[in-house]
Amino acid sequence: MKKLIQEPLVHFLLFGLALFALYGLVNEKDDGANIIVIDDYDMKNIIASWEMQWKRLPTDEELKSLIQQNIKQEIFYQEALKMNLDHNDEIIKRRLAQKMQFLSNDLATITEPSEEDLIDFFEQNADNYLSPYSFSFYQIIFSPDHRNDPKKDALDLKTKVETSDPEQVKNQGDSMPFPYFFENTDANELQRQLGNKFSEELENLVVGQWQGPIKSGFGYHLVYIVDKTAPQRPEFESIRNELLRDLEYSNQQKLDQLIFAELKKKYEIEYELDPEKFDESFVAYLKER
Amino acid sequence: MKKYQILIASLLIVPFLTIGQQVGEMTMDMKEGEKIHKKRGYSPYAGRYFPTQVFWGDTHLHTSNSLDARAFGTVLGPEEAYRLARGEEITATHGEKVKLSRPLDWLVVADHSDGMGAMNEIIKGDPNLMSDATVKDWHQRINQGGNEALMATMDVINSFALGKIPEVLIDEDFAQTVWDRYIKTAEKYNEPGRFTTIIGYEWTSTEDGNNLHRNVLYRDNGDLARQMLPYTTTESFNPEDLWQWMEQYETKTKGNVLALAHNGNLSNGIMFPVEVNPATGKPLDENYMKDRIKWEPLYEITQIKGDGEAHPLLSPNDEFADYENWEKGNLNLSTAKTDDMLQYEYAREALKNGLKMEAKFGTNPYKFGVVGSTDSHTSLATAEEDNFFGKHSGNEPSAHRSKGIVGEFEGNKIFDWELVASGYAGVWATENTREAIFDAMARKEVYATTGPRILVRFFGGWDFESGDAKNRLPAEIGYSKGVPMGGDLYSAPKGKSPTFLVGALKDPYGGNLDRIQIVKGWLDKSGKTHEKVYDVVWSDMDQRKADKDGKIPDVGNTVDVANATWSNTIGRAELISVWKDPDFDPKQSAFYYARVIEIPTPRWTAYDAKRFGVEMPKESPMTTTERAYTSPIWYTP
Repeated sequence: MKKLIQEPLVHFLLFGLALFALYGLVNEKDDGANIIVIDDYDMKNIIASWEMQWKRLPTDEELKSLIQQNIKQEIFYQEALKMNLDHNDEIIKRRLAQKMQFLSNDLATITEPSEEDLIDFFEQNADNYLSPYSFSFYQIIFSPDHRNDPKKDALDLKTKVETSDPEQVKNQGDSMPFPYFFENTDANELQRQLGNKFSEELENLVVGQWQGPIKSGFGYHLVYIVDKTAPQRPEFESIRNELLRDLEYSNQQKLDQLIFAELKKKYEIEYELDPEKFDESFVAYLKER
Repeated sequence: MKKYQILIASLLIVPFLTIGQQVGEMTMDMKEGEKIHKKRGYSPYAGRYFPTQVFWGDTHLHTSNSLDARAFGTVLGPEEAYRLARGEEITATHGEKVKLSRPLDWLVVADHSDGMGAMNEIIKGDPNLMSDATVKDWHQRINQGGNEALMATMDVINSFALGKIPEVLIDEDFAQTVWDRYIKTAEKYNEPGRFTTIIGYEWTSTEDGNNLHRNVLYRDNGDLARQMLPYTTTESFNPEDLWQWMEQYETKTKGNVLALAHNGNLSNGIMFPVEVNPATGKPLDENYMKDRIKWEPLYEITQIKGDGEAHPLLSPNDEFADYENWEKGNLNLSTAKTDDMLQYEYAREALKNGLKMEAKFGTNPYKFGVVGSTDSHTSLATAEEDNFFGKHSGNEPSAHRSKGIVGEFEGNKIFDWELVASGYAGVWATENTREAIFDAMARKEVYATTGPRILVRFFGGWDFESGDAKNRLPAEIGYSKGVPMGGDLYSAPKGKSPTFLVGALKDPYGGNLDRIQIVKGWLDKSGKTHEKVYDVVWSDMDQRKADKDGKIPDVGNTVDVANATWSNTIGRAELISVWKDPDFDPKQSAFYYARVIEIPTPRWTAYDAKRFGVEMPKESPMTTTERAYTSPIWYTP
């Protein structure tokens, strides 16, 4: 609830409601005495927004001045409304249109998804959240930097070592700035370091013998996989924030389209254009969805 | 013994001192520094606190929040920008699917603070709302699309450049709403350790069309960043006022910000002033110099609108200086370029002039490190030749890019083919967090590339020897015997010349490396600056011997332009060496930075020609030699 109160949209909604109420009140009195009520809610708002900006409470003096400003704004605002100054004012139109847009965006986030929604979303999109492949492996690189036919040299060594213990085959191949033994390294990291093909090829290799050569961005590698972990589905709890963010994003997209489509139904859109400049086919094009 | 102590002091303590001096309090704190640079024990792995990894990112991406980006048609916002950068496949504005070859580690969505979010409104909102004649005109022309939209957008940019911004676009409440939402999104996508969203914006000073743009980056989270609205050019065009704003921000929030300028090449001679302050017309004073280096530890040296390292007219002896320079005029092309402007526009010249100014005033205002970034206005941080989505949504991939125009003013044009698919920023940080990345930037342990993720290490010290290049833990040696890129060397020990350990590993997806060079700039006794480019290590050194002028033969070219392919049969995957300055004079201040050059590869124009079956204009280059530039290491007597 506390979070909700800090939400600017809620402020806007409540402020809007308050205005409506005030408007009703003013109209009821038939342009008699106008009343502006400063209540606890207003005070709380004023203080909270001060605090947010200055990281401290306002002094009595500051508070008084803030209230005076609010009252002035409110009075001018009321009078401006009476004079219809809001009509055809581009700033107001723009702001209101934007608020509608924000409203639809925020609706998606304001109605917090239920636990079931989140679980459903996870079920439907589980593939997006799989952990990458992970490997522990030894590699020997044969680099074109240092030899004419690195692939052949790699193959030659492979026939010699085959099932040899990796600890026995140290110091073969070429020296490059990455380790002989990659321990529990995931595919993303391998992709960063050696290129994506390399980790993709590792997926298809078996554990416990020298294989390859497979190609990286730097040369040909013989590899000896000690351990290979296939993609795992993460614990729901561990990716809760990510799921929430992504579900919100997806809802936001849907809602935005939905609301616009719904609202648009209420309107007829007509094009009154000079046919000399815009012929029928162009107008038809404009009407396309 | 005393000398030895001084040496140790200069190696171990000086790095912290300089960090503290140059960028005020916003740098890594002392404890962090001590951890990184502390003396090592026996075990090479125990207490390894120095940065072991480069984190790749873009300090400069625009989304639909940016007035001009939205005007050019971009519909994607920060959310999509983060999604693409962290490795997801998304749909670009024109419907093309796009994905990076591999994720970036961090991203700064840096939308223009002027009219942030407003253009969205102009285009989306009810056309009748445009009672402002100018805005209405823009709205209509932008919605017409095509060339008219382009022209209208140029008008939008011009109106900002001239400070004639319609009131409706600079409404503060509105700006706060947009800023709040921006921050909210950044917070949502910030995942320390996996993908970092650094909060930032661009202050787009373009008085009279001359580019003085700065990006402002925050070390802080949203709770601090939201306390002040981004600084805009409605308030001032003068960078000195921006620095004041930064000072105020830090005082008020106890947070940290830094700024980096970009596109000196479009400033028409005012990005790196030496004598006269362009804002006031008066001689530059010490305050300007101190503030500049306090707030601007970095410069964006390469990006889509041109590479800004060096210019052939300023560096006639540098055979690689003629690279993707944009030199037709200022940002809106309203004033054509003249040769005398160049000396105040390019990074290398500024680094040299900085030495001169330091000798005269005691402060070097241009002691900056360098990064590359895209400045893309598509929400897509693409900098790879084979995956280049253009400067703005008007030049996302299509056959049209062979003929398109980026900007035009009275017949002076810049064409789509001139766009540079550049660049990215490599950051040697201790971890992938806002704080660690910012701190690495503040201590300038960062470098620029024109797109490929070439790994570059660069250390300077007095005792590197050739055997150090064979060590498989170059960082270990580098940090223990010297300072990393962005660092300082002081007071040469008697009889010693500075030595540098420099190594580069190709991008696993990219072209092989042709060579590593070290660029030296220095100030002589008479107060004149000089520069020299040294080839340090290159492929096939036994065959490619220097000729009598010291020139190394070309590495060759394997590019098949028609098919947009090449083979890595020339060049090397890895180059590493130790280099000692052969022309060192301990009395002369100097800087050194490394430049790594790739073998020729297809330029994005070649991929376009192949994929769309179009012919590129004759003037358009079809191959490129991509490169990395490190931040310098400075020597001060």
